Amino acid sequence: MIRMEQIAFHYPKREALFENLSLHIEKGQWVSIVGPNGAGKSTLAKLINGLLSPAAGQIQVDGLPVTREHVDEVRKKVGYLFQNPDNQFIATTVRDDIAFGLENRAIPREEMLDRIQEVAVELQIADWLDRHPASLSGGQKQRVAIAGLLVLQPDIMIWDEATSMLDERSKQAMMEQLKELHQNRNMTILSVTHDAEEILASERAIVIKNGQVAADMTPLELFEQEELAYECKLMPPFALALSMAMKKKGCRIAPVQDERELVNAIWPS
Amino acid sequence: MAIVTCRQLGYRYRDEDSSRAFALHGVNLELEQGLFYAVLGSTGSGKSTLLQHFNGIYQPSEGEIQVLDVTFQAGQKKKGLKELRSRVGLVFQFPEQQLFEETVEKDLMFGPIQFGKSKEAAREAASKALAEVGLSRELLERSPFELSGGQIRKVAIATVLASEPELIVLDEPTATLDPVSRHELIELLQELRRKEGRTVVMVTHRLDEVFCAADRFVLMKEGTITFTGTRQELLESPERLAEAGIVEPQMMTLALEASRRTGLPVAEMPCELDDWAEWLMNHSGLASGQSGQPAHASDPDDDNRTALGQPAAHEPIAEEEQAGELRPAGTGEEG
Amino acid sequence: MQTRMIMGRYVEGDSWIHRLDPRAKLGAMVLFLVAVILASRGLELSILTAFAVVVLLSSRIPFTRYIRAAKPLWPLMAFMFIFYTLFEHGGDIWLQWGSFRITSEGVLLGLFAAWRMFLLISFTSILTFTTTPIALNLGLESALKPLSIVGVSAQSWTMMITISLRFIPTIFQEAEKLLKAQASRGADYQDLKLMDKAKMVLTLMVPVTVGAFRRAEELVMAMEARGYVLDAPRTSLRTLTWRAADTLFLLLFVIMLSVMIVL
Repeated sequence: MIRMEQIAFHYPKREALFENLSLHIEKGQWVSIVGPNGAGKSTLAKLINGLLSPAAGQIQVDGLPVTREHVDEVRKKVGYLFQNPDNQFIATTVRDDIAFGLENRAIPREEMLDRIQEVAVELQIADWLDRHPASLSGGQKQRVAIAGLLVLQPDIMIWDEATSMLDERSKQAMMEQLKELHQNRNMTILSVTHDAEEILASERAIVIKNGQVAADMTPLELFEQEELAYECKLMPPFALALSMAMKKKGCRIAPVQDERELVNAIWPS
Repeated sequence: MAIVTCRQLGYRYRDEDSSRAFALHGVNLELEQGLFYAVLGSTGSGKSTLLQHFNGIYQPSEGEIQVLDVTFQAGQKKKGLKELRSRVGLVFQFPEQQLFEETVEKDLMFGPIQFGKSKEAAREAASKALAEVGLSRELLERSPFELSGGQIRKVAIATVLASEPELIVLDEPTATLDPVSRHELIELLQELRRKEGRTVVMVTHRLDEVFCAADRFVLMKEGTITFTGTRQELLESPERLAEAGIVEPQMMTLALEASRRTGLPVAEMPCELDDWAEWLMNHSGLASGQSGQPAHASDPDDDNRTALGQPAAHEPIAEEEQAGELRPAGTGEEG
Repeated sequence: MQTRMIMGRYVEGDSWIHRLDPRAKLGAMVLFLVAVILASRGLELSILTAFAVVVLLSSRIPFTRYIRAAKPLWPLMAFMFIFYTLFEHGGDIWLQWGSFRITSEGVLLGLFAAWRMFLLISFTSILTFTTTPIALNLGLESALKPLSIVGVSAQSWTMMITISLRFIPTIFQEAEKLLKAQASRGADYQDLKLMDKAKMVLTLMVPVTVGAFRRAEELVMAMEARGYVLDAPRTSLRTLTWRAADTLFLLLFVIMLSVMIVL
């Protein structure tokens, strides 16, 4: 679905960020992109939908090269969710904001109304359609932003630290949303994140470090490599950390992801 | 000694639409000197509004609030609050967006100079504050905009520390930080409270990050306080968390479940990860049965451990009990 | 504060004027402006005022709101009155003091000038009072469309207005938070002297501008990612429909203007 071959990239007047980076992502895969601060996780994500262009190398999305001629086509396939819910809310009402992408694609008005209604019901935001963004919470705004992307029916979703400004409850709701997109829509998901639970829910963790793909493994393997995880500024959830600590002390226990599993492992009923 | 006392405190935004009349209502709260308070609540619970009463940015529309030796009463507008503000440092959300000088040092000196210190004294305060947040002196000459996310956040907190406040109030200081930086920041706040005896009040919506660090927990919902108490008391009333929209920390869920299985009180359970690992191995039969290594042999130094039922900073029990008596009247009853 | 910034000067209501097409209202305002400029005599001004009062009343917005709308311009009106009174001469001399004269014509002209300005400001408020910012923006876009022939992009103008409408409240909130943070660090705006206040507003400009630029950068990316290309053909969710009432409304102003000219 996504192929990056020997990518080189640097920001103007800065050192090279990537020199020879290659990466393949299969259709329907849920991938977490992690790495130390400034490793270029976000930059990588922006290269995929042509918001930035590489100095060398090739990027293909669903067989289409991400070049000037095809960037419009590519962007139709890729939905990009940013970190700050405020900076991606363009219009003055929820309805107008969801319509923004449709308007850009010159979708006829009748179809627009149908599609907005459909996505609003699906994401349970139908009651807010006439509200101003300033009257919504961060989590609500981010849900509106997802609606604005889903209404364009993309095949790939990129979440660029999309949950980091949200409270715990909203974050959990967003994670449910990701699971839903992954399972029911078979969407390819790329998420730049520091959230341990979200990483563990994904299928594959790619570590970007020193301009390279430094590691490519399952999320659990990543957390088991404690030094690498720490370098990527990640901390395992308490239950996982605990099961790993117990294992280190000689206890025969498999790593578990949540506290219920841990309880069941310790006191089998 | 109480450092902040709220009595029936209420606040109404001036020309706001009448739909949500009160941002705060009937708040009774007493904060003891030298403790670490975590204020938790979901969006719109009034936690930020409450904080901004602590140094007179907001002044009550109802009731009164006493901070150190200043009392704000509903209906009176107080001015000239420099003295109070030098003693109560308030760090707003995303403090890094509030830096404005060309160098870190100048930004750090801004507060002390405003509070009447000489340039020399302010410079000294600046480097001391930077050291307090664990950053190197080399950063003093740099522009704030060149620093990394975690560094810039620490500098922003140092701008308030530079005035050496007795009470430090922070509004979601950990928001958008990565987990490692978040952990470091909480440790820093604990240090300030432990070594320098300052009172720390921190707003967050993540209980897990402060569960072991804070001494007292305040839960807020729709402009009222629904719970104030120690970790032990919080463990006894998990339903308060759900009600305030706060996610229960994994450690708390585990402790409650472990107590159910073993019949032991949660107060005796540990706080630290390694202690937990041992505690579980000792109390589940899992370790001895399956690995053959006696788990308790590894750490004989039991006295230094913190348990869930204890305050975070190894205080004498007497002080703890005294503080307990001064808890606000409204504890756990409003909603 | 917040509601005011979100909705501009819009006053909720359901009068026939609220329901008019914004283009009709824009056109009518232009016609009214011409009429005010042409009206030079008391009779014409009186007719125009009577007409304005009838239209304003039919919007079912309290009349005092329209009067208050001109309030910020009172000093200017007073200045115009004094200027004409002092420097226009003609008719009877009411007061003389050396070369300094006040004449009946001067006073009359001064009164007329202030009257016209008051009429214009109060009346044109009906546009912003009865039209939501979104509708107004749409009206502007289609009104500006003919300008694309001479190379002016109506779309980029209206996009600019939309984004301002969206972000001005946010930027104000940020500035407010900064003021509070400054106050917490010992520089309370309310306690400062005038010079220091000015200095402080200047220091505020740094973080506010940096913030706005950072925001703009991300906003542009978010817009591009959702397929926005400047001046590419796009459809619009909101459409304007021209009804008979709109034609009637405009016609009313045409008749009024014709009457003024004939008189």
